[in-house]
Amino acid sequence: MLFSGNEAIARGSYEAGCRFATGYPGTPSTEILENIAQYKSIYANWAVNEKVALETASGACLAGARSIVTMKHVGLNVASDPFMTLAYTGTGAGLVVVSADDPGIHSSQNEQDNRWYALMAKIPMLEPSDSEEARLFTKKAFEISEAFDLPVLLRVTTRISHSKTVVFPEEPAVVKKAAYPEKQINKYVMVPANARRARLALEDKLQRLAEFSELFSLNKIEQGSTDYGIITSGVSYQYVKEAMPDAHILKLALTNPLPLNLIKAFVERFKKILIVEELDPYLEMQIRHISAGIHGKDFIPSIAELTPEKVREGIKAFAGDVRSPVVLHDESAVDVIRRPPILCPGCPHRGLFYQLSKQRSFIAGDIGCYTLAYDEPLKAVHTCLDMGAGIGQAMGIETVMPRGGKKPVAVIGDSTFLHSGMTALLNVVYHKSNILVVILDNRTTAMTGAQANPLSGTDLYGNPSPDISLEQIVKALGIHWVKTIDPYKTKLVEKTIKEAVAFEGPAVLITKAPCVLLPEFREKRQKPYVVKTDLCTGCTICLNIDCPSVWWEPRDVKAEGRTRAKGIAYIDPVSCTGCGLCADVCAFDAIVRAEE
Amino acid sequence: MLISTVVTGVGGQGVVSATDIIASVALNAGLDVKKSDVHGMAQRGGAVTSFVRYGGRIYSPIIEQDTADFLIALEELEALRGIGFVKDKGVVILSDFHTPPPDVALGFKEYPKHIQDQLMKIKPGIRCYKADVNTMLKQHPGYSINMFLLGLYARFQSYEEVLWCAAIKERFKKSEKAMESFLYGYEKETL
Repeated sequence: MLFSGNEAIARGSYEAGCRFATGYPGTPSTEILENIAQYKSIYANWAVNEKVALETASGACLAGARSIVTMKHVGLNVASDPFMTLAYTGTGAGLVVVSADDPGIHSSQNEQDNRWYALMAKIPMLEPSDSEEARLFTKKAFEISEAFDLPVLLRVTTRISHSKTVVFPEEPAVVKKAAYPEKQINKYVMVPANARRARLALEDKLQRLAEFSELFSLNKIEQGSTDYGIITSGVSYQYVKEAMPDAHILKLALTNPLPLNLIKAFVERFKKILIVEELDPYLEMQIRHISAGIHGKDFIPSIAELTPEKVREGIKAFAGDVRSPVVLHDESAVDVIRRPPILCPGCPHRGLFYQLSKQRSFIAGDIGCYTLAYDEPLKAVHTCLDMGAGIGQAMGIETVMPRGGKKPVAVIGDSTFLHSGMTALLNVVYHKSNILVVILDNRTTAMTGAQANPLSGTDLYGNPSPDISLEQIVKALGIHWVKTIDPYKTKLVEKTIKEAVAFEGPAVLITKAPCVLLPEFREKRQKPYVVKTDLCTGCTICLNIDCPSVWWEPRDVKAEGRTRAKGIAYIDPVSCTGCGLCADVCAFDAIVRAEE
Repeated sequence: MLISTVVTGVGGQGVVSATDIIASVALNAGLDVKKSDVHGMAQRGGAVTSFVRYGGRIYSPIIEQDTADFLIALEELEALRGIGFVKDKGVVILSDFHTPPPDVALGFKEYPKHIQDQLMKIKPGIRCYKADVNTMLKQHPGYSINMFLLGLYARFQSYEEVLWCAAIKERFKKSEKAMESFLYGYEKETL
């Protein structure tokens, strides 16, 4: 069968007898939990954030249920607090933490290398190199976790998560059921006295793990015919095999702790060694001291994704002892007009950003589809740092800015607000910061493909969940000025933004309408709009709303007797959802709804 | 034997399902297969590229520059984004369908002209087949571009028709149009 890495991790969890799975959506990790939901023996849910997810899984493990937690690389930053101390307490039942890293920054804000987390937290780490290994290593991860009473980090990358390769599924294991947890106070209560003891015990575990690592059967040596050796792990292994099938290779599966004796023995067989790893010199910094003949980042780039050609060039230069700096590839052969993602036709966020952009305020952004409003022509998002950051940034600006400046604005999606925005908003109230926070409530986690959140009204399985009122949450945090409006009502949006900006004190504006990816939106979809070519003056105001359905159509102006513009607007009838924003902004009544 | 195919297009056009079907057919024919695409924000109308490779034993899931045997471009301009992957004597299956990228839609730039000539200039050894997608869409509203071009692609492969049809049926259980679009490319369109 052909599985993506994410499908294979889901399958591996099922085969390992995993009982509980949780996480927060984030590319490229999202499909793991969506696929786990198909296996009836595992209960899965979307947590409000990665920290809560890991803590919940820790509880499930205390009660004896094997558990898995999934997140993207930056999600582990959020979950790093429990992650660091779980190594001290141990987990009880097997606990696997999946970090899906994004080298090359396909859909993220950075390309941090999360292998360092394993080293820092003193937690064992496995790195699969294809889907079959993703399945197998997931099972191994549960075994190692229970054998050493430690969480295990399963570290994958975009090319593992989103590539499909052949997998050979097996039957699930029978594991013991969950039970009410025993109280082991010395083990699980990390007061300093217990934590100091746990720290010593952890050192002992690491010692045993290091010995285990030396004999671990999934660390493999492949004999070749080159006069040098290559040490690699993860997807980089595939690029090495593609570029140099005859090389001697030490392929590491368990990359924390490293099998130092195995590595030494391998290194001693060759005059020189090349370490091929994506991103940081993680392996290199730990093993370079072994021999002067060890090379790595002097030939293999440390920025962006590796590719077979980068690895091939690196190996060639290394083998020929040419010390040329590695050139980063320009991936495109020709200069092609860019085609970035933009807000969908009919997106409820568009009108809000159009009106906000007229305010001339500084607009601190956040993580979500709405970040896309940063670009031409809207240019209505001025920061994007991390989940929930915009509220703090707007508050910081307001705290120090000169008197009389435009009220700073923070825009944040519903899911992001629940993930990390609530505490920041409480800080705003506490310090009476005069900012406007706009919560874009589209009832879903849209950017990752519409996963449910506490405001969706459904859970991961589509079952109904309790009604949660965003307005009540905001009021409970101490906000007095809060209004919920329909973002498609252009005049109302404009008026309400003005009111909120004029108000002295923290204000929250909630724009509530379903994301176009949701089934509810289909009910809203209406007949498309058309341009009345005789009325359109070519003023381009409708292009400034940044709708993919509204195009500029160059025209022969002289032939048509026009004087002012070299073209007119055109609306694509296929993609237009009939939201009407373009008609609202048109000053010449040149945009009307199509007739039957 | 090892065949590498790149499919390019615009989010929403079915780039990923095209390579899924190619992968499924190769797997059912008993070959090793790897495919790779980056989704992330593909649903927002951005450029999408997907790789599929099959043969005796496949290592890299991604395709190197100048090595692909085939390029299928579901949108004409997107062929330019994929042409760097194509080998000297590769085959390009080119859609004549246009979706203006933002800079063209906003009137900042013009949609590139003579794309087929540009492709031939970059890779003079290729064979480039232009698929008349616009005519197909006029004659058969509801037909899909990705399956039509897949039908053309299938004519260059040695698999039996039943393998293709089974994979398409499996993927698009409800849609008759997907199969009809495939057969339009497989049987009707002149190359």
